[in-house]
Amino acid sequence: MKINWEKGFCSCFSCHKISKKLLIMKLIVILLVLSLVEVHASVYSQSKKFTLDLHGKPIREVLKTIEQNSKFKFFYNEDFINVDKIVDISVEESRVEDVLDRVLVNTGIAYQVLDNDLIVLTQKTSNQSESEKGKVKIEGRITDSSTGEPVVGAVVMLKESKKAVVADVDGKFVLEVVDPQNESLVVSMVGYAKKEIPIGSFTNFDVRLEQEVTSMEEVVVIGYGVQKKKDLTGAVAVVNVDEMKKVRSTSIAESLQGQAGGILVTSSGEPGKMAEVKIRGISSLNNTQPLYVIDGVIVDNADNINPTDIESVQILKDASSAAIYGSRGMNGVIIITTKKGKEGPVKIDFSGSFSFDKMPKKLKVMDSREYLYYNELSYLNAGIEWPGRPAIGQYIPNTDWQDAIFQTGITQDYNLSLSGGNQNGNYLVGLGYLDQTGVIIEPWYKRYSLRVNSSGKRGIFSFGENLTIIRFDQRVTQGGSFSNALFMPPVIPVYDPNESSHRGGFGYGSVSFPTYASNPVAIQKSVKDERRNYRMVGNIYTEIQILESLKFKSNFSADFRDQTIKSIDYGYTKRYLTVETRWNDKLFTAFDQWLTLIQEQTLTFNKSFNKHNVELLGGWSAQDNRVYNAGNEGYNQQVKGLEQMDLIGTMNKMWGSEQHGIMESYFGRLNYNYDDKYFLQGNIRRDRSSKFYYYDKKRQIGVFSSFSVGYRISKEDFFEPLLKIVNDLKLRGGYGTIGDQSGIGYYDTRASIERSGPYEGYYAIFNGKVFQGAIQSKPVNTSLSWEKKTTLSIGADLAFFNNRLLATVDWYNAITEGILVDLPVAMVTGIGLSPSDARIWTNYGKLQNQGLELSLLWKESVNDLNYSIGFNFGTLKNKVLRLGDKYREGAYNQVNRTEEGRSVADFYLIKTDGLFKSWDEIYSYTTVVNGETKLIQPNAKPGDVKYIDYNNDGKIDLNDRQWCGSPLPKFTFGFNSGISYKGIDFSLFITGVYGNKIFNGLRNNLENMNSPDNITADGRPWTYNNQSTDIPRPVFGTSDNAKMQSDKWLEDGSYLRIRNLQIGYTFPSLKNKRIYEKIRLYVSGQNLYTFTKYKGYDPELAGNGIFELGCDWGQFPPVKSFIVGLQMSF
Amino acid sequence: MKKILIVLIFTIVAISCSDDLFNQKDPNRESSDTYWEKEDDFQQALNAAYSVFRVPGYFSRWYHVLMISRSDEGWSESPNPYFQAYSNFNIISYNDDNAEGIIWPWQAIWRQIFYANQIIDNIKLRGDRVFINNSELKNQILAQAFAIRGTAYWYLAVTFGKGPLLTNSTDNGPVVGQLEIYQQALNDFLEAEKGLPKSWQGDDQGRITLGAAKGMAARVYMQLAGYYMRPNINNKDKANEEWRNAKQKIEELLTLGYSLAPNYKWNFDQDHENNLNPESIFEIQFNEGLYNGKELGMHRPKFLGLVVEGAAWADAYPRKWLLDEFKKEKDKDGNVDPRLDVTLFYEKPGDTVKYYGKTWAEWNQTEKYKLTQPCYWRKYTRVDEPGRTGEDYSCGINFRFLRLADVYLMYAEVLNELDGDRNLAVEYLNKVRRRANMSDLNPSDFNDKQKLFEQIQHERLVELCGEATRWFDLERWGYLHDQNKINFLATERDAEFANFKLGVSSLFPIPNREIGLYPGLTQNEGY
Repeated sequence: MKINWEKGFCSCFSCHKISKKLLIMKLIVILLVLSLVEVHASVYSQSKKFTLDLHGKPIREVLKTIEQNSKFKFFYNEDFINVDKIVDISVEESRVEDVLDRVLVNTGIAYQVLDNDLIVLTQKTSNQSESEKGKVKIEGRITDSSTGEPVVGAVVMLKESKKAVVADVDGKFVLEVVDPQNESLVVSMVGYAKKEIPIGSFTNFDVRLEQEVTSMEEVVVIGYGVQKKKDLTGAVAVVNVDEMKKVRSTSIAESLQGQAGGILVTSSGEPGKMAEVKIRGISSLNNTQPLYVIDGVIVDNADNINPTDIESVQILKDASSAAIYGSRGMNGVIIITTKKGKEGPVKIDFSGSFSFDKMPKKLKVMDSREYLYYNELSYLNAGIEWPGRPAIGQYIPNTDWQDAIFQTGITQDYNLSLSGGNQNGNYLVGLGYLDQTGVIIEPWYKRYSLRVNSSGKRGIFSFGENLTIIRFDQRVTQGGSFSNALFMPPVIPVYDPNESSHRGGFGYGSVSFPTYASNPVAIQKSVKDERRNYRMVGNIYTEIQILESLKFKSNFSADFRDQTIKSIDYGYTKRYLTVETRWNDKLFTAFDQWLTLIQEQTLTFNKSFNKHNVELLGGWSAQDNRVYNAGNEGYNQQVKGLEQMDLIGTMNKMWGSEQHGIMESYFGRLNYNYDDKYFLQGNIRRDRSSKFYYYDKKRQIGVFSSFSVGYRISKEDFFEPLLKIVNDLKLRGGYGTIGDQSGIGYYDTRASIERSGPYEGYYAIFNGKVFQGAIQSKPVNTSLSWEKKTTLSIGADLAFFNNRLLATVDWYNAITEGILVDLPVAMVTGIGLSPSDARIWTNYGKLQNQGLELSLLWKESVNDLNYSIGFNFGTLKNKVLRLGDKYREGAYNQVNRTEEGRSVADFYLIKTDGLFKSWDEIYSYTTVVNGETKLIQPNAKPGDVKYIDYNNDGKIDLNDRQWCGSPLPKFTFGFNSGISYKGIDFSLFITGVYGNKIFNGLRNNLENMNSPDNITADGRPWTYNNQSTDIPRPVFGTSDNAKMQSDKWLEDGSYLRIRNLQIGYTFPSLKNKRIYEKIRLYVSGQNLYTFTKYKGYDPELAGNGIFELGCDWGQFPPVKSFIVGLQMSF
Repeated sequence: MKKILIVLIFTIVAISCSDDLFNQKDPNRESSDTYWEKEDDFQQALNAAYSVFRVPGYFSRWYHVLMISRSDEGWSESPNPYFQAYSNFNIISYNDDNAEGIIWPWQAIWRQIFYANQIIDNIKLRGDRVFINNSELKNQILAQAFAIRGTAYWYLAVTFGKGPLLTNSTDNGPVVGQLEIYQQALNDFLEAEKGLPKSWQGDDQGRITLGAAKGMAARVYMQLAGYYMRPNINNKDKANEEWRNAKQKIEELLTLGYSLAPNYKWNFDQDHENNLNPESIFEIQFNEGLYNGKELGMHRPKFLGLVVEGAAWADAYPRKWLLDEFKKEKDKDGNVDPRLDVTLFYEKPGDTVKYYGKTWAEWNQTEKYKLTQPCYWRKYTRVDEPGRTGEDYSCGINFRFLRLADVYLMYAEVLNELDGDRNLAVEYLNKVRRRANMSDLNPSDFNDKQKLFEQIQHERLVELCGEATRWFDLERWGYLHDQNKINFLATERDAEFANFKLGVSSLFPIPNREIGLYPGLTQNEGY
């Protein structure tokens, strides 16, 4: 039987009330169920009798009446079938065929009763008798690509002649084609992606349809199981992987940037450097990294794992969602599922991209001519003779130090995968190669990755493994290159054969042009620090479906990493004004190994009865962590050019150690929902870690629990009037506790004997000989226990306008207690080697994080136009409730300060009030101290910085510091939009942060005007002729202008960045030849433009510790990239 | 199916982690609970306690910088304001976590006490079992631990003058003042005497000897005597008792067979250390260079040496009056006191000796390194070592913490204070003078206590100048406790004493961070 077909899919008569999709979904279910009882079905159409008496009703009504009174379902396309015709019908005890014959008489509608009681209505074709010659009979079967089940009712249409048939209960179809060479099959079914196949000379087709899942129906992976997204009660962000992958990222962490609310990612452009992720603020003063679970393998980080392998990413943000990972999920859990093979013949996917990377910008610094002028002036102002005065005719170089180290980096990324499978198993083998050279000279990163995922099934048993093996090699960027490229005076040449130290032939500061800076080219070339790494992450599992409702899973996983560092320091670098340790060929090698083994046994019970749906999970897991390291260091290579430990002249030191930790956990989860309306989830977990003191069991064990509830209001009857607009509304709330133990080392609760000692060791010297010493160097706190984070999270999921707009809102308040902080202890206890070391670990710290998260997604398809617009937004309020110390400062600066009652690492600086413009201003800047009027800055001169004497003591010092803002953004956001029309697609991705401050350490050095280093050229220093500037006058030596701890260098860190802009074209399928499935070409620009007031290279700063956030000391900024890429599937 | 389930559950329960796995032993370090089971464990712990002598807060650096620059011998012009503050008594705003000169000695003292206490505790606890056939070794180790602890308490008494009395490694002790700390140090030295040998042989050379314990005890007795003689205490009887105790100890020491080295210079070089120098009583051991990445040398030369072309820092200069004091008296041959050229580096017409490569005159021609001071420290530096252009942080010369010449001069002082045999006192001065080629004093010129005292002061200065004993002398002689004497020091010797506050500046402030961290520990008066 045939139906004519033109566009879209057929609609049913009862579609008017309920959304099409839902109904069709229902229909599919019915079809599937019916297909199982086909034996009865054929009988049914013969035996079912109707008695009808309807007058002046549209055909639609008649059909509806039949449906209501029988098992029959009608299936038709309203575009062709006019069911509004008014008819009369009066029958008694008639078969359905009799009824339809009467009703449809003279309507031009034909019908066919299928075996499964489905009745398809089609238009009668008038030209049935048209030429039959040249007709080719083709047949085929349509199945679901993931389950292998037949797709009953799928519509198979000929593209040109518009003929169509419906697949039968076995998914089979037969068609006659007139001109097969120019004809294609278009197979469509609700809930599946449409598929087009050129016919050519083929006559048998095996069509696999891929399920098209609406995001509410999406299944998400939660700890030790899956759950429908619409049933979630915890705060889980599901990342749109397709959009995410449009951004070229070298790491999984980096690719998450801007993809979900409440996730703060800072990345760096350094080849091989992994981005930092913070979920919902700062939960601990120790580890703030989330936990990663890759295909069920729990790992501390997803570093260096090929992001191309990702199939889906879920972020568990709150206690109720992450609690099942208990002690390990305090900073959130990122669940990654990698790609698996799908049923079908071998599928080959290839993707490649080639990218040119550049520094985001160059900063303006002075050239030699200008530098000489202000350099001389700075000596003049200091009353010192200018050592730099050139002799007549002397050549002065004009080096652009940024140009000297910047280069165009190239990133190449190629991935190839083979996958396939059948009903009983699937496989995927993927290969990846990434090669990245830095945007500054020397650093590079190369990654070779292999993935093998496969699974198999036999009866109640299923088995599988996921494995990735990665080798990554890296040459590490030397610190200080970016800052020195700015600070180094332009009058020094990059290479200077006459340089007195003769180290590497590089140019350095000299008596004429002393400088605190060093040659950045020499810095990069001086140390060859190369690292070779292997990492293997994988698991093997077995599942036994013991009963229909009971499943046992056993999982063994391993994360192994091996690193070899070989670093040779040629000692080229030299500074002129500060002391620098000089090495003579220092060779450093280190070998590190990390091994984590985890086994997990879980039992899942799953049952639905009436409207109750219950899932119960119980499990046991044990984990074994081992760390090994060894290394050595020596000086003076015996053979120039051969750098090996065997050839070392002087061995300096050797070291090696190992660590071992055990953790065991029992966990359980209850998931219950009633009628998809009321939801309840409870988690409990008991963890025991060997890090804590064995003889204090209570502290070694942590018990963590959480619960969450959900309520789908949209299912209530009273909600019905609103359903047209709001299709779905679910309220969620959760409360729970998770723990963490990563703040302390494996043996920090053991009192032990030290042998290595401080700077001078524990060596005793007797008779000129050295004797090893050993002693317990400090008392320890044996009562340490778990950090505990308690979160209250409230949220809602909404769907509007036929599910085209999805919205999620979350609010949370999280308090972490018992944070492991080291508190100062009196040195009289004999503890420690310095005041900063005289500290003991306690569970004293307490932090609070609060935030609001919103995500919106609009998705629509209009004819061939598909578009989506996504937006996410997250606020963060962080507060230190207990710190222990009066305050904590960053390790290297007095710029940040962490204090109870404030946010972590707030800026604490002396405020400035421009420059002194005149002597009058200086002399009138006074205060009264003890009844005496005092000049506040008696040594100032016009052109110097005016500081605010905050404590009114008549002098400017560190006591005048004030709170000046936070390095943490008030909110972060991401905006993602994609449009595709026919083969062309376009996407735009914007990310940004708002409300944070950055301390620009680079500008501090460029504009403090008291060193002989280079000077910013953004403006000009203050002189009597140039008073309208905020750059102070140049004075060599110590002057007030140098105060680093002032707000003069504090800048607004907000930014909005065009993270990615991409245009792609997918080639249309070639007629007749099935050479490829898909070819897509794209060009893309990454970090194209950043709207910001920040004057440094980039406002995104990675690599700062918790107590010194937001400081720019010349970190490697994210780079700007232009990418050309190709994706092919066969 | 049920069977499978039962088997599974049973298996899981059966294989769950054994309790023992959670008692992970640190594979890199021994546990303190199971250590102290072998003789060698105690030896190694003792080595660690000895090692503290070498840390910068102790005899490697700060002991010298502090004792010299604070006393009237020296002063500081270091660009590091902390150095200046310790030297010129304006410490108050330089007592923070960066205050090396305060924090480091404090920390070194308490580390050493903690280490020594661990040894003492564990010898008491398990010594009989571990040293079952070797009670002599046990007593030696215990005695050395006592002597080390005594030295630490003595250092505490003369610097901070306050702190908790910790006599075991686990309990808190009461916070006490200078007198009690001196007494604790004394008790430790007396305790140490019980187990120490007269001398050590072979690879034991450099350990604390019986003589060292007696000498240190004598030192403490004398400081205690000085304590009782302070104007605000003025307890003559107590003072005399301590002088008598000191006399007794010194006389015991003098029977142990020490003798003056034939050459004064032997006391400051690397060729005559330990048993090679009959004069040496207590030496702090240093080796030049690194061992397995750890520093074994003494920093003193780098900090006090000549500041030319980065050779050293000269963080404490000698005062000019020292030079004058030396020049008061020529030696037997009419030359300057030979000890002067060992002690100080100064402008000497016709001097051809090169210091770090150049003569005084040659340095003075270099605009940048003009030698603007009348004199610089030469003792314990290597300025005239051929080929040496500067000091590094590592110097292998042992620091002679106590030598016989000092004890002779102490003996003379004790005899004088007790109105004892002044002829004998003068004889002991002469013993020291003779070695330096100085002519003998005539005992009949020194019948007067004050007159002899004046001479002893002079003799101690020229003999011990730059050996960091001066501060104790000033304290014992009452200079730090009498405003007139402070004024004298300020006007005649060391202008920095103008800032000296009576009742305050004789002690350091307790590191501010410690206040409130130990129960009952309060800041010293005036800080």
